[in-house]
Amino acid sequence: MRVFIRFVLLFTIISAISLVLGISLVEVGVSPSYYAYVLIVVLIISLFSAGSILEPVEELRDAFQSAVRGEMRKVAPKSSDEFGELASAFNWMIEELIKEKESLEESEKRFRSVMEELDGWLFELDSNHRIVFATNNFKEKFGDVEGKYVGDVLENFPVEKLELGKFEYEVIKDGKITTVEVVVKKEEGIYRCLARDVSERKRVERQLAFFKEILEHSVDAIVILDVDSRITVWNKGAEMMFGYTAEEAVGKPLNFLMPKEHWRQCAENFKRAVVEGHVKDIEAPRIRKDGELIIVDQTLTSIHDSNGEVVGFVAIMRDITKRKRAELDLKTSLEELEKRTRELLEVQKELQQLASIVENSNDAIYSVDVRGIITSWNRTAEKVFGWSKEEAIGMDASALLPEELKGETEFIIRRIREGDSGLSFETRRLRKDGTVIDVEITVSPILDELGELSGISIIARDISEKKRAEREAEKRMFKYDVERGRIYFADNFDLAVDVINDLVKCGYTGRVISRRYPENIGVCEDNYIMLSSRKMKGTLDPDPEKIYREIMSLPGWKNAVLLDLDYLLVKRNFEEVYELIQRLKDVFFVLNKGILIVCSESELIGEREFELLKMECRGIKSRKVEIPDEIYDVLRFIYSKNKIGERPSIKDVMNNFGITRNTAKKRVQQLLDRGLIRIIKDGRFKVLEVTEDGRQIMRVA
Amino acid sequence: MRETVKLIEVARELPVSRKDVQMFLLLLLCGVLAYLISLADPALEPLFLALAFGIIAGNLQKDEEKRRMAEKFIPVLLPVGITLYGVNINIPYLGEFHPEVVAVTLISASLIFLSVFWISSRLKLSNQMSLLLACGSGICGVSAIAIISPLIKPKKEEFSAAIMIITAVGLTGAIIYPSIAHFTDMSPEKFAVLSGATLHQTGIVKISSQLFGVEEKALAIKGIRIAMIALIVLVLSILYSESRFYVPWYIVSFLGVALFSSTYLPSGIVQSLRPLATVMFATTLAAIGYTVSLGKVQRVGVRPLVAAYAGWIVGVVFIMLAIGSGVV
Repeated sequence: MRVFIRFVLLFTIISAISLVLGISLVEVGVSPSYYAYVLIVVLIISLFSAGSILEPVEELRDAFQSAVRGEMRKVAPKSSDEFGELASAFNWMIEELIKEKESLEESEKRFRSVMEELDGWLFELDSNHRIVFATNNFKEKFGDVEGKYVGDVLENFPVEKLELGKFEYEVIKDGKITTVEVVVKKEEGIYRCLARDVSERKRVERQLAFFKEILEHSVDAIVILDVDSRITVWNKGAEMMFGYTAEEAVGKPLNFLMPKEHWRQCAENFKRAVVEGHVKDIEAPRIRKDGELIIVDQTLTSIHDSNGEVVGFVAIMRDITKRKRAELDLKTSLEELEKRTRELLEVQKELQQLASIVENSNDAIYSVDVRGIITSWNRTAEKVFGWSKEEAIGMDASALLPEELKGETEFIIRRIREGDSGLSFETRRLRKDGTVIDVEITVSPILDELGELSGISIIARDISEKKRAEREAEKRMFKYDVERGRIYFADNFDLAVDVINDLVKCGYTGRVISRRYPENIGVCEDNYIMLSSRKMKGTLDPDPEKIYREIMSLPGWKNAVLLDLDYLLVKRNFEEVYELIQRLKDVFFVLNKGILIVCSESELIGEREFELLKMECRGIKSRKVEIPDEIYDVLRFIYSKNKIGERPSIKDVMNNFGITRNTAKKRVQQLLDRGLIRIIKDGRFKVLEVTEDGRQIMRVA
Repeated sequence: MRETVKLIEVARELPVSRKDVQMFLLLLLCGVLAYLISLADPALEPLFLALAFGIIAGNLQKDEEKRRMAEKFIPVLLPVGITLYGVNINIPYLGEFHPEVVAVTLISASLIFLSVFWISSRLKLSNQMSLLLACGSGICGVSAIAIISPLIKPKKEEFSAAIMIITAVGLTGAIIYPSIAHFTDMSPEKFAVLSGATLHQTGIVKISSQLFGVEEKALAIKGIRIAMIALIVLVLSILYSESRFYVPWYIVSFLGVALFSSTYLPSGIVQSLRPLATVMFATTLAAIGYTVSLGKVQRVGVRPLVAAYAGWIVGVVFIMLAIGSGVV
C-alpha cells in the first residue's frame, strides 16, 4: 500500500513537471528535440526511481542469493513499509541461519579438531578404491592423495579386506615392521577407513600378556591394591599361599590377612610406600584361610599415574615360613651345639678331673679290653702291682692273676656280658715280685659308642692287711675251722646246720637250700629255700643252673650257704651236681662270696663220687673250747660288740639270745666269775667289756 | 597449401580471436553511432550515448563470455581514450573574461562540487560515487567522470549511474533554463553565465545558449570549468595514488595533450583529431557499458539523483542570486 502511495506521488510530480515544461517550451518555442531530452530525463529518473523502488526487493534477492551461497548478510530495513517488514523477517531468518551456521561451524570445527587430534588417518575410498577424502594429517603425511589409488599411497594395503569391517596389516619400512589397524565403515559405496598405527598398542599388549603370565604363574603372592588398600587383583600365587580364592579376596582390605596387632604397622608401611615409592623386606606374619600363621617377606610399591598421583599399590609376598623355621632350627641347633660343646668341655674337664682323680687315686685303677689286654694303668696300680705304666699297658691282664685265678678275667667278662654291671668282690692279685695280695675289686663295663662292650675298668684296693686281720678274727670267733672263700662237704646234716647257725651268729647271712623242712633242721624260715619242682614263693627248682644263679645272686661277701644235695641227686645225675659244685667252688674262691657247705647223707653217693667230692671240698673240723657253748656264745657276742666299739648291756644279751634276764645274769655272772669280762658303768647304765683274759681265749679259739 | 596452414596456425597463436574482433567492432559501432548522434544534436553527449548503447547491447545479449571479452578492451581503450580526449580540452585564457565572471564561475563550480559531495555524503553514498557526481556536476559532466574514474576506481555501475545521472541533470537544465529565462526576463549575457556556469555538458551549454545567441560566451565560461579538470585530475591522482606523488601516465599524457592542443597544436589538427578522440573514448564507454548490468545500475537508486539535482540547484540559486544582485 505504501509503495502504491509512493508511486502515485511520483507520478503526480512527474506530471506536474511535464505540465510546467510543456507550457514553458511552448512559450519559448524550443525545437522538438527537447521532447527527446525530456524523454531521456524521464527515462533516467524512472530508471533510478524504479531501481529505488526495487532496491529493497533486489537487495533481498541478492541477500537471499548470498545466503544460498553461504554469505550471511542482513539487509537494512530502509522503510517501515512492507519491504521493511520483509527485510526484518529476512534479517530474523538470517540471524537464525547465522546461529545455525555458527552452530554448524562450531560442530565442524569440533569435528575437525577431533579429526586432527585423532590418533590415526581418516580417509574415504570410492568403489574403485580411490581416495575421495582424507584428513589433513593424512595429507601432511602422504601429500595430495585425493583421487589416487589407495594401494599407491599405502603400500601393501589389502583392499580385499575392506569388506571385513576391521583388519590389520603390516607395513615393512626401513627394516621396521609397523602394524596398522584399519576400521572400515561402508556407506553408500564409500569405504570410510580409519587407519591407526597399533604397533605400540601391540607391543604394550604383548608386554601386558607377559606381565599377566608372570602375575598368574608367579609362586609369590602378587596383590594389587587401590588407594584405600583394598585388594583389586589377587593372583594364583596368592590363592595358593593364603587359601583364599580371588573372588573371596578382591574388595577386602589387606588387613584381613594379618593379626590385629600388625594393622598399625601395615598403615605405617603404606605411608612409607607413598612417600618413598616402595618399602622392602617387610617380614610379617599373615593368617591363612585355614588359620595357620605364616611368615612372609613383603615388598610394597606404590603405583603412580601419568600425573604422578598415587593410584594404588602392589604388594609382593613370599612365604618364608620354612626358611624362618629352618633359621630357627639352625639357631636352636647352634645353641644346642654350643650347649653340647660347653657340656663336652665340662665333660672333658670332668674327665680330666676324673683322670686326675683316677691317676691320683689311692686305689689301683686299670682297664682291660675284651681280649684281656691292659689298656690303662694308674700310678697307684704301679705301686700296688709293681709294674710301671709302660710295662703294664699292652700286657695281658692274666699276668696279674695268681695261678688258681687265671680264668678270672674271662669269668668277669662273661659276667659283664650276662648283664652284671656293678661287679664288686674280694680277690687276690699277683704282684710283679711274685707275692700274692688280697684286693677288693670293683668291675665296671666300658661300652663303645654303639653300646657294645669294649672293655672293663677295674678298681683294685689292697686289702691284704684287712683280710688277714679279718681272717684271724673270724677264725677266733668261729666254732668250726672254716674259712671264707672255701667250699666244705658234710656227710652229717646236723653238723652242717650247726656250722651254718654258728656262722649266722658271727654275722653271716645264712641260706639253706634243702628238701627238708626247716623246723626239722632247726633253721629260720627266712633263710630257707625249699627245693621243689613246683614254682611257688620260697621254692627253688632242683636245677643246677637255677641253684647256681640263686647262690650267685646272694649279696655281699659274708654268705653262709648250705646246699642239701640229696634231693638234687635224686632229680639229677651226679655229673650235673658235681659240675655245679665245681662252678660254685670257682665262684666262691674267686669272688670270695662266703662259705658254702654241701651236704649229703644219701646212699646215692658211691665211693668214687664221695672221693670226687672230697677232692673238690674240704672237711669240717670242730674247734676245742673249755667253756660251755652258751657261755662261749655270750663271750663271743660281747667280744664282737667290743670289736666295733660297742659295750653291750645285760639287756642287749637278753635280747640277742632271746633269754630271760635271770638266765642272762647267770651266764654273765659265770663269765665274771672266770674273769673273762667286767662290768663297767657308762653313766647310769652298766655295760659289759671283755677282759684281756677273755680276749686271749677268743684269740686262741 | 602449406602456407595457408601456417597462416592459420599463426592466427591461432595470436592473443586476439575473431570474437574479440567482432566485439571490438560492436563497441566501435556503438562509439561511432553515439558520435554521429551527437553530431546531429550536441546536447546528446556521445559518451553518454555510447555508454547507453553499450548497456543496451550488453543487457540484451547477457553473454558473460562476451562481457569478459569487452572487459579485456577497457584497460587498453581507457588510457588511450583519455589521452586522446585531451584534444577536446581547450584551456581558455582567463584574461579574456571579466574577473567577476571568472570568480562567480569558479565559486559556482566549487559550490556545486562541494554541495554535491556533501549531500552525497549525507545520503550515505560511497566516496567514489560522491566524487564522480561532484566532478560531473561541478566541472564538465560526463567527460570529467570518465577521466577521473581510472583514478578513483569506482564500481562500474556507479560509474555508469553517475554518467546517466549527470546527463539527466544536464538535460533537465537544458529543458528548464529557457523557462527560467522566460519567466525572469534574463538578458542573453546573464543567461550565458547561468548556462556556462551551471550546466554540465558542453553540448547542452551550446544548445541552451543557442536559443539566446550567446553560444560563444557560454562556451567560453564553460571552458573555465573544463580547465578545472586538469587541476582536479592532478589533485585526485595524488590523493588516490597508491604511492605518493604518483600520477598515471595517461593522466600526464592527457594533460599534456590538452595543454599542447590548446596552445601549440594547430587548430586544424586538433579539430581533425577530436572526432577520433571522441570515438575512441565513446568506444571505451561502450565497452564499460557492455560489461555493466542494468539491474545493478538501477540499484544505485534515487539518492545520487537527488544529490546531483540538489547540488545543481544550489549552484543555480547561487548564480541567480549573483545575477539578481548585479554582480554579473
